[in-house]
Amino acid sequence: MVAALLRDTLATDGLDIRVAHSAAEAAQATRGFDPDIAIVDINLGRGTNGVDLAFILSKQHPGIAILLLTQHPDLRTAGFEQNDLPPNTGFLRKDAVVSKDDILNAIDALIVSEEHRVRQDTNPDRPLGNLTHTQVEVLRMVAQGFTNQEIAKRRNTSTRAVEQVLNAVFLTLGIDPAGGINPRVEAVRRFIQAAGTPDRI
Amino acid sequence: MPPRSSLRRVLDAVTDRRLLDRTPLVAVISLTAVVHALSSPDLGLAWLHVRIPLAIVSMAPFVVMLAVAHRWAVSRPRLRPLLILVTYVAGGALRGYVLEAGLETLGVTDAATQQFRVTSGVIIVTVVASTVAYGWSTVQQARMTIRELTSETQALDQALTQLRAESQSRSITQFADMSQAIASGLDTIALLGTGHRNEELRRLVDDVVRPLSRRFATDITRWQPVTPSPEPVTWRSVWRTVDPMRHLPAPTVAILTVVMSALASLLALFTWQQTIAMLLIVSLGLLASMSIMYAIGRRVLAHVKSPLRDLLITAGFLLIAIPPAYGTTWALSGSPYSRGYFLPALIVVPVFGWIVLTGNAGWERLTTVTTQLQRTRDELRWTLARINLLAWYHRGVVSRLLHGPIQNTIQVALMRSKSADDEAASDAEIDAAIARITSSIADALDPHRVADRELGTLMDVVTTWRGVADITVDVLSDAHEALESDPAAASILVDLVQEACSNAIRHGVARTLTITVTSGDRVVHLELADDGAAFPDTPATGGLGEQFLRECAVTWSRSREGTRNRLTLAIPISANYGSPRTALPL
Repeated sequence: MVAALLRDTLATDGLDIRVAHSAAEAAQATRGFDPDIAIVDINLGRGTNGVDLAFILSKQHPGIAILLLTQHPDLRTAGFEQNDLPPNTGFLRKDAVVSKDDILNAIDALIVSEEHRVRQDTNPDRPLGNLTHTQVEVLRMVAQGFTNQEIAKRRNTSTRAVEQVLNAVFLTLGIDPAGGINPRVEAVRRFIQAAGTPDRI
Repeated sequence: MPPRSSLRRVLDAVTDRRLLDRTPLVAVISLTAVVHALSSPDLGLAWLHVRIPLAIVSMAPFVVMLAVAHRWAVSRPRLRPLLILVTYVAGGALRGYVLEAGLETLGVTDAATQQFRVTSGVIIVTVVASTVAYGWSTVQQARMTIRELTSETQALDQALTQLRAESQSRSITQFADMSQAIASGLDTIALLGTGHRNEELRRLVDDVVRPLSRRFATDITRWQPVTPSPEPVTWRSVWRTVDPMRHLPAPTVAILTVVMSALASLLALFTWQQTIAMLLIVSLGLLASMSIMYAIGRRVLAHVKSPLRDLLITAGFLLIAIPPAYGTTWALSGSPYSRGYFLPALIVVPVFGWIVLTGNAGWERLTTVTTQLQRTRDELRWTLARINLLAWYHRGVVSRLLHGPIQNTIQVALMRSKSADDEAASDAEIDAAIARITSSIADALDPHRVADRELGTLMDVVTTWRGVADITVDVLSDAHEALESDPAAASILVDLVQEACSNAIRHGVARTLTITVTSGDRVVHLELADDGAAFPDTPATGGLGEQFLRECAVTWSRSREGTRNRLTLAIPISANYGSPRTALPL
């Protein structure tokens, strides 16, 4: 639906647009066609994800600009790192887009290689933005359903260390453990609200 | 551990450290004292009140030597059998010397027989220690293995019980419950009047879909079976397991028994020529007798109940002992001690026969139990991997269904319904949404359709990555056929291949990647090879890391071969997947 809306919106500005519903379709659609920019979601359903697709497109079309249009507040909540992105990639949150100008401005900035203007994943006011990298990683694993012991094992640390990180998460998110709600559930709720349910792998 | 050769196993058993345990040590000391008492033709049964305590005490140097030798052998495992055998011989000689010295001191014998006592000490101690060590160590080994097997079998049983409980309460049922609750809610809404539909749809989202979504997200715990504490193993249960009559020994045991008992009965009293002649004659006779005994035993005694059976075995051994007993008289005719070995042979042959018989039965039982244990371990590993794989798969399906087709479709339908020109258009939007959700649920519950789609996605992934690397895929037809009926395995395959491409090409800068899928016994083998950078030393925390492979693969390994990385794994697969609503997909 988002793809169709985008196509309808941008087509009026005279752009040559190709729509793809999966990474495979996108890879196919760009053969024999030299795109200036690709607008990609991080979550593309089953198969190759948006970050990998951005990498593939940037290899196939050097100089292409990539706009990640996603519900995630930043790459960390999707399980990726900053250096997973190819050069000239912008990051736009879906819930921050209120008009078609937001999209067009982002495209303009990326076409002239000013991706720093389209980096909402570095906005300090973004959801979960005040959590550290470790805190996001641990909270994501909690939302994936892992116990503290399992998280400790996966991060090669102690259960006590995981508990400390989680306490810091509760504190940073302003969740009061004595406030009549389960802080772990509340933290997961906020994560899902901001970034959706993470896959379990 | 690689399988050991038969000779090495016999040597290991014969020189086992557990001979220093209290029970076998008491047995060795008692047996050597009995043999001395019964088979000293120069003394007969005279002076027993002095000779028996002296025979017991004279074993002390041997025990000390053996303890020191085993301690020294700890750091030299390859030399251990030789070292211990030498200790038996040297310790036996020392025992003979000490015994003779004691007898002389107490005035029982004179110095003339000293050499004979040393030689007989070597033979008695070596034969008795080897026989007892063999019997004891094999029985002990069998006991340990049985305990291990019992524990693992219990773990497997527990795992299967928990799996059934899991299937009742967790992901699989949750999956069915969720889809049924939503489908029935939608059916109700479809029957409502136009004015109430939007309101009811919103209520369905708030009351059913969202709570389920939250519960699903917060109530996931990785399932692991409880490992039960091993049940105590009693001597009675061990004896039942190594009951000789259940595993009548092979002819090799007959030879061992014959040689050992004949050796012990000779006591090196005579010339070597006499000894060898007697051994040959007696051994041949004995071997024939024992073979007949075993043949009878296999056919007849197996149907007789203990203790009558044990009595019959002992009687058989006594019968077997008669020919060598007479044989010694014949072979040593002309000697003043020609009848001195008749009684010892009748006692020593059955005793040694029983020790070797029990040890051999223990060994045979050990082989059977080890095979069973390995089979149980393999079964447990497969079951665990399969459970984890299914849990992972079903939760993935639920997650995608809740957050994709269900929530999104309802939200979009509500938006469109609100902006519709009239009630009819609004109704049409809602009807279309209900039809779409019902179809999505039915689609997610159809294993063949899902598996088929996953295999299509697999090729999509490969096609996508082929733009930047040379990828060869070889899915053999039997493996493809197996995957077509197992959506969980097909699904994990997609994720593994996607992750492998991402890791090898994006992070490892690989130019070529080879993917091979073949089928095996209840598994699908996946091999991934690439020419990218070497695997990192530390396990990955994101993506399909080591932890994931450990949980969901029956076996897996990764290696660096020349300039290529190689990852192989076996994914548990079942031809009997069934439907999550009705069947336990194992």
